[in-house]
Amino acid sequence: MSERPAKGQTVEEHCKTEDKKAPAVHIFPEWCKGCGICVAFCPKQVLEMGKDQKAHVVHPERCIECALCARRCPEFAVYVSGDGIKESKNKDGGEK
Amino acid sequence: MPARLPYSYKYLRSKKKFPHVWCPGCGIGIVMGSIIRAIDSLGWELDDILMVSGIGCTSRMPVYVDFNTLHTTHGRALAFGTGAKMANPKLKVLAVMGDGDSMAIGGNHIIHAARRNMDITAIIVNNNNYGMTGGQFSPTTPQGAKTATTPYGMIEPDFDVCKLTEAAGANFVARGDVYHVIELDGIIKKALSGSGFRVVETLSPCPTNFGRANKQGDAVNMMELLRDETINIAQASKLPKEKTQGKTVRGIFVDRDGMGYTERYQKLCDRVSPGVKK
Amino acid sequence: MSGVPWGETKLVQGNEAVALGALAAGIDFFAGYPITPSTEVAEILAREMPLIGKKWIQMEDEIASISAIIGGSLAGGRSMTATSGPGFSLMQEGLGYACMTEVPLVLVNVMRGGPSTGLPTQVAQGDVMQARWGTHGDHPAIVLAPSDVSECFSLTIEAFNLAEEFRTPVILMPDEVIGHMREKLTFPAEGEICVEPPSSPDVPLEWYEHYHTSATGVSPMAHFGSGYRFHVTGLTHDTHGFPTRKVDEVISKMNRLKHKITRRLDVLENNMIHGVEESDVVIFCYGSVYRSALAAQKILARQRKKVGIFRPVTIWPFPDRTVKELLDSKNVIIVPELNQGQMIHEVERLTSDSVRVVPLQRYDGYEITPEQLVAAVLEVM
Repeated sequence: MSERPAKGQTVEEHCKTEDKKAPAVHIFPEWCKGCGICVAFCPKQVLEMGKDQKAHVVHPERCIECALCARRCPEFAVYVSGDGIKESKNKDGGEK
Repeated sequence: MPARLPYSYKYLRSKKKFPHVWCPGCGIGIVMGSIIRAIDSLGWELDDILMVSGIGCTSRMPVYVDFNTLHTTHGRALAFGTGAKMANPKLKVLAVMGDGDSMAIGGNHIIHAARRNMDITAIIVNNNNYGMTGGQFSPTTPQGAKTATTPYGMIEPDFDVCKLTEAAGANFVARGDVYHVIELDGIIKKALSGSGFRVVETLSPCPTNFGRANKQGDAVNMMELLRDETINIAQASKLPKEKTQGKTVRGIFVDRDGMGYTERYQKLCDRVSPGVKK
Repeated sequence: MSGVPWGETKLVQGNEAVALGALAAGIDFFAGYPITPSTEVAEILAREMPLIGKKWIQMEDEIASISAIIGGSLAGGRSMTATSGPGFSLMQEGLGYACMTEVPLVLVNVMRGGPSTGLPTQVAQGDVMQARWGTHGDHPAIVLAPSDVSECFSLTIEAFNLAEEFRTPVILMPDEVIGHMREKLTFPAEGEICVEPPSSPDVPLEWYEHYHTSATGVSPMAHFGSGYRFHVTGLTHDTHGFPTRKVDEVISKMNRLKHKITRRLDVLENNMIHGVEESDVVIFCYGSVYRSALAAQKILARQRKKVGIFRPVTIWPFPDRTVKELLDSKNVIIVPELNQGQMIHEVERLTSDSVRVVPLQRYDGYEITPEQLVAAVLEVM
C-alpha cells in the first residue's frame, strides 16, 4: 500500500483505491503442495510458482475473481474473497 | 492464516487434519471441494448427511468432512450405506468410492444398488488404477496402459462406468472431471438432489502412479489431458463423428424419475398393514 | 400367525423361535441372504417385519448382508442377519469390522456339514473355532449355543441385549438339528422379558468420544443422524474414532477390545451343570449333543451309573475358570462333538494330565445318539 495520497486525492479516496488493490486471492502456504495447477490454469497469470515450491500471488491486480484457482486447488489452499460462491446457507458450522 | 476463512472450512472437521493425505496434484481434493460446494448450495443440515466410503485413496475422504462419516471395507460402501438408509431414511447417503473399489470388488454391490434404485448418491472418482496400493490396474484401466500389474500393457477390456450403471437401472448417471470443475459442481449438485440411485463418475489424475507409469507428465499435464481429451455432451452433439473420435464424453446421460427404494419399501408396508405407525 | 404369540404354548421350529425372539427383542432391521439350514429365519421375518413397519431386505450376497446390518446398527436400528457355514465364511471380514468399530449386531449361524458346500441339509458343529477366530487379528467374540427351541427364543433376546451391553457382535449358533427341530414352546407374557434399551450418550456434542472408556469398558454409542457427528473406520483408531498409528493409542484400543470381554466374564458365562459334583465321569457337550447327553444320563441312571453333564451355553468366551474348578479333579471327561475335535482342545488346555479327556466325534452328518454316549461312558467306567 502506498503511504501518501496522490496529488489532488483525499485521504479517504486514497484508502479506497488502495483497498481495491488488496489481493482477492490468498494462498495458504502451509497447505500448498506445489502441484502447479492453480498457476498453470489461471486465465490472467496472476500466480507463479516460487523457489519454495509454493504458489504465490504475483499479479493481484490482474485477478478477475473467477475463482477457478480455488476450485481447482486440491488442497483447500487457495481462497478467493467474494469469489462468487454465495454466502453459506448452512446454519451449522463454525471453525474447529 | 487470514482471520476470515473460506466458508468451505465450516464443512471441514478440523484444520489440524490438513494438509490432507492425498498426493500433490491428485484430483480427489478437488472432488471434495465440489461436493462441499454442492451441499452448501443445497443448505443441507450436517446431521442429516452420511458420507460412506470403501477403501482406497478416494475412500479416505470421509475423515476430513464434518458429516456423519463411515469408512468401511473394500468395495462395500454401498452395502453399508443401504443398511444405514433403510434403518434411518432421514439420512442423506453419499458414497465416495474409487474405480477399483466400486467396479471390481464392489461391482456386485453397485449393480444391485442401481437395480434397486437405492436412494444413495455415488461419486466414483476414476483415476484408472488402484492408487493407494501402488498403481495396479483396475477395471477402468484403458487397454495398453502400463500399471504395476500390467508391466507389458493392459490386455483386458475396460468398463464404461456410466453405461454399466445406466443398464443396471440407476435414476441418474453423469460423468465429469476435475478440470471442468464448474461443470462438475453443477453435476454433483444435481446428483445430490433427487431420489433413487445417482452416479457421478469423476475423472481425475493420479500423477504419482498411473500418470508416471504412462508418461503422462505432471499434474498440470494430466489436467491438460482432461481438458483436451474430453468433450461435453452438448458440444459433441453439434460436431461430426470424426471430431469426437477418441474423446471421452462428459455430461448427464441419464436423469430418470424412477421410484426410489425407500418409497418402494414404504409402499409395501402401507399395502400390507395400513395405518401402522412407522 | 402374526407377531409373537405372547403367553401362548405352540409347536415351534427352532429357526422360527429365533425369528420370534428377534421380534420380541425389538428388531428394527434384518438383511440376509438365503442359505440352508437358516433360511426360515429370513423368510419368517420377511413376512412379519413389513407388517409392523420394520425394515427387511434380501441383499445380493452375505457380504452385503453383514455390511448392511452394520450400517443399519450405526444408523440406530437393532440389526440381525442369519446364515450358515459358507455364508458365515463370507461374513468374516464384516464381523471383524463390527468388532473393531464396536457395533452391536446379532449374527445367527445355523451350523451345517462343512467344509465348503459340505452337507447343506445336515448337522455338524464344525464352526466352533471359526466363530472365535474366523476373522483376522485379535478380536473379542461372544457366541451362544442353544440346545432347544425355547433357548432359540430366549437366547436371541439375550444376544440382542449382550450386543448392546458390550457394544460388539454376538453370534447365536444353533446347529442344524436345533434349527430345524420342532418342540413345544410356552412364550412368556409380553412384560416378562427383559430387553435392554439401546444406549445413547448424554454428554454435550463437543465432548462426545465415540470410544470413550468407562467402568464397564464401553460407553453409550450415538447413532448417525442423532446430532452427534462422528467418524467410524476399520483402521485402528483413537477414542474419537480417528485413525492412529501412535503406539500408546494402538495399545489402548487393542486392550479396550480385549478387556471389555475378559474383565466381565462373570456376566457372559452361562453353563448348565447336571450331576457333575457327584460323578467321576463327565460329558462335556453343547448344542444338540446336549439333548442326547441328557437322554444318556437317564439311561445310565437306570443302570445305577452316575455321569455328569457340563454344557456351556456361552461357548465363547470359554468358561475357563469354572471348567478348571469343577473338572480338573475328574477321572474322565468325554467330549462328544459333531466335528473332528474343536472344543475338546479347550477342555484339554484347562485340565491337567491326570484327567483323561476322551473324544467322541461324529462327522457324517448325523446326530450322536444317546446309545453312542452310553457306550462311551460304560467303556471308561
